[in-house]
Amino acid sequence: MMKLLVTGGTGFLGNYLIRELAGFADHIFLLGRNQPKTFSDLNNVEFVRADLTDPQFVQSLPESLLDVDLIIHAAALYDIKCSYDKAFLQNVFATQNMLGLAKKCKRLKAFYYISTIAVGDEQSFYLEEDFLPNRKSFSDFYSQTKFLAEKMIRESEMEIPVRIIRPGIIVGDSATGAMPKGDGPYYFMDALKKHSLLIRSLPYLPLPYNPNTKLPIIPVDHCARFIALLVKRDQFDGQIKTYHLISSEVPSVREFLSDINRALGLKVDYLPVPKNPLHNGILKLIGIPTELVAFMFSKLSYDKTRTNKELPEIEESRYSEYREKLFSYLE
Amino acid sequence: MKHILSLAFAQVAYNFDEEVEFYGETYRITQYSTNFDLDLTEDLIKKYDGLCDVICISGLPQKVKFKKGFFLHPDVHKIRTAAKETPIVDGQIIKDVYVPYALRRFYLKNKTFLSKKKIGFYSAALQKPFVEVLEDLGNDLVMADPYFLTKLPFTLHGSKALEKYMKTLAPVLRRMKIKKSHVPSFKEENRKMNRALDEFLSCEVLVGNEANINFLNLSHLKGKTLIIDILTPLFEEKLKQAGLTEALVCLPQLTEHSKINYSILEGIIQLKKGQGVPVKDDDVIQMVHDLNLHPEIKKINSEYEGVVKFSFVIHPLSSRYLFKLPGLKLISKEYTKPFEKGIEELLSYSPGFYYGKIDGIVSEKNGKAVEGLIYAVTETPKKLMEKEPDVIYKKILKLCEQAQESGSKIMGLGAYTKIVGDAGVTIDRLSPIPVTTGNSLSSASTLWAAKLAVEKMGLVKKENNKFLGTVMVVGATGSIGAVSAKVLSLSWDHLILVAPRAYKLMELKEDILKINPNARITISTESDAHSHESDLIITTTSGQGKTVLDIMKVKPGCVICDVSRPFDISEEDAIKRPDVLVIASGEVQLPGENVNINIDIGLEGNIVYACLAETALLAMEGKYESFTLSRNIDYEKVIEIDKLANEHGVRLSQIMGHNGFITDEEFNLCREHALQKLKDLA
Repeated sequence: MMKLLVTGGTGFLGNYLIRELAGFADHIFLLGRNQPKTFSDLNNVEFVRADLTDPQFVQSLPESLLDVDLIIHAAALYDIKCSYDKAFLQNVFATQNMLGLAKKCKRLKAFYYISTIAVGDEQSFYLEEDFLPNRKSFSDFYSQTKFLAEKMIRESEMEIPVRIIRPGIIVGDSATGAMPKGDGPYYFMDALKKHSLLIRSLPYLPLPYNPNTKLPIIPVDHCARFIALLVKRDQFDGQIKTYHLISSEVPSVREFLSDINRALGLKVDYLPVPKNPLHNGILKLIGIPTELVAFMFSKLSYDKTRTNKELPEIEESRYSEYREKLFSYLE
Repeated sequence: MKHILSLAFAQVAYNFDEEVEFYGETYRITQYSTNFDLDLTEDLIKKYDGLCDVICISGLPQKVKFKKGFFLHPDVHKIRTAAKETPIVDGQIIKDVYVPYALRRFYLKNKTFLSKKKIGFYSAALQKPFVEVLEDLGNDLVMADPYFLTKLPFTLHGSKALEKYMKTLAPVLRRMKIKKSHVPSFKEENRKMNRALDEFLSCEVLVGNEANINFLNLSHLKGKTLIIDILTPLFEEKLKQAGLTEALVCLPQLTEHSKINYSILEGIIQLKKGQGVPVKDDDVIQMVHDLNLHPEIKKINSEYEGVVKFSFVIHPLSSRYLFKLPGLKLISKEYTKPFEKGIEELLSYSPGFYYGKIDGIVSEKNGKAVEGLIYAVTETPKKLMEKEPDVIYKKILKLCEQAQESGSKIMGLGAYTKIVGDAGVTIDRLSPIPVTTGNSLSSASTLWAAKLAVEKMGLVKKENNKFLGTVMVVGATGSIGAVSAKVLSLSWDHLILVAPRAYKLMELKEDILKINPNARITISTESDAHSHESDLIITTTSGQGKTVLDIMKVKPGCVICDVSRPFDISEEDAIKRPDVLVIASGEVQLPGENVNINIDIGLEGNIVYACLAETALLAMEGKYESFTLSRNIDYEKVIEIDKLANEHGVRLSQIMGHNGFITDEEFNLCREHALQKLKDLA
């Protein structure tokens, strides 16, 4: 009998994740503010109404919830433009509440936390698994609060095994290309599509980016499948284990931009220029948040030793195989 | 279990939710670091309002009180009043009550810790409780408020100026947002560009709290002392990396309870009082008493491992010495006489200068290497006495400044420079480094010499470290006399005190009986009445050459220790009694195998004047304070320096007579004479 407690199940990743987990779990408690309609076909998923940003969150839950085997905390505010206040409440405060809940669950075998690779310092070169760098400056509040939350989990000295999963930039479905909300690289896709008429007439478009920066992406369905696999295979050994879920083959920014060009039928050459205030203004004007610019210059590469060892299937997630579908989003 | 919500306004990444035990009770503390975000702080307060027992906010700028009115940032007010039900505390009452007490208590116990040090405030307005106390102690205060709060390039030097500044800028400050980005740079590199920063960074002691300092570039803390309210282990680690030397922590007791800070402490008091009853000063007083709170010094980094320097001023003891100067060496000794007066006059107009150094001094106690810089003024004793004291002060103060620039921590006054004017008090007041006259060790070493001389003569019996004989102090009511009498009362069977004024003698006798109730003391106004029974006579009078003691009446084999300058016992008198040993002082040797003095200071090898040795001792001990000043000598100080000398390895080296060292042969000769005389008398 395996009982799971999942937060963030109503979100983009959660949608896929719940379906994957429902395949093998006996019972899933889905915590959220609003009842989702999408899981009506799954009879082992039970919705529990709860507000993670309520100080009395733990007390407000029914007793029956406390005998779960696993907690998967996937709820977060993924918005690169949000205020510190909101990001803190949704990402840090809620995580603190979840830790409080985890302490109360006596049968709990492991605590899964969905972090992000954005906790890595763009100024450094390598992000190791099982290590959180001591980072001081952040380009956006999303990364900052996710970093704080992960730090809090690592320092909370829980007695049960903790799994920290850091997915890369989550992109649309690898089979259908569907992407319900535009964020991350989709800001670029949307903006370029919107202004494609104007851009079509330009021979060059200066853009602040480093052409060699790799975009650490992963399609949402792959990500959900991998998380479910990790949960399924977990031996509940070791204290804290961290995984980097990134496609084994990822595009560089230049590659990605030329793929957008192909999809939109553009011929413009994107001139890489350094970060500059002028561009910050222009980007804002065409609807790309300036917080993204830092990611366009990231020098980071990601350690995947543990992930490759325990999750050999990640080899199958390759950009070249899902690129076509990915850009069907633009059509 | 009581639930405490702690909001750390100036922290970024210190969130937890734990049960914490504090003095027998368990509290649930939920802490969030709100990273200067007002909205978030307010949101959290509103969320928890009514759900927890107390809300403790730390890191917020507090209310700045003045004589008339106060300044409170409107945002702070907004946060402090955000809750409708749960009480909000911010630790201000504890700071207001406890910090001044803690600092004063610390000061009274360690008066030298802050002496002569410039104290810098990151923001005096935010550290008001510290300002009041430190201002009372008379230190030079540098308040960097204009720079810290508004980036203006000047500093303030007193609470009046601070009040004026805060009042003038209140409309501006009120409109400023409390943000991290307002914090200016405190980097060493920017020092040349900014007068305020330069002045602030020249302070040896800085006052701040974690909220002030956490976001600054910490490299400027290297080698400094920090006065801080509490020190969390995390912050201590940071300070250690920054190279801070030591920290004076007001609430070190909280270091063990790393989750507790000032405002949580106040929150706990609030919990004990119950809701609706505000925390008052008296509650804090009670808590200070109950928990026995007291400040503490924490060494963060071991001090700079280099050589510690001290300085010492000497001067030529007579015009003859002037001819040791390089240019004047050419005049051969026989022909110096006619030039003496002119050169003495001429040279006395020259400023003081660096003369040479003593190196290789190594303490036996802590292995600390010490180096002495010797400065010289050119006045002979005669000129020193003739000239206006102010002229001499100025000369010596110039040398003090030079000494400080070359890294000296303390200055010693040698020979006659210490008796000019008020004997060092004025010089110490105006000097940038502490000044000592070295008289404590001089007295102590003279007593060592007297003791050794008596032992070498071997005519007085000894039992349990106590001489079964009689010692007489002539001039006992003077400052050296009194100290000697007190010290000798511990090691001699019978003490005779002689001085011209009987009432003072009677007072002294009472004083000594307080220290040593078993002492056998005789007091007298006539020295000759008792000189025939004394085995040791210490004369320390200001007789200026008048006869205070008839040497012919003295007991054979007696040791006379003549501390007075000019001498009470003239050389001619001393020759009249070959069976009596007249000694003048004891000179000491410095510890260390390779002590090297690269100039001639009138002594040999590693033997130095006791007053110089006192300066070196203070440097070895790291006790940079004006140890001995003015003409008065403290009994406690003499005992203390005696102890220090023993520990660090400063020992008596030679006994000086009227004409230099007294050799063992002279001792034996004197002893033989004395034995003969005693036999004759018998």
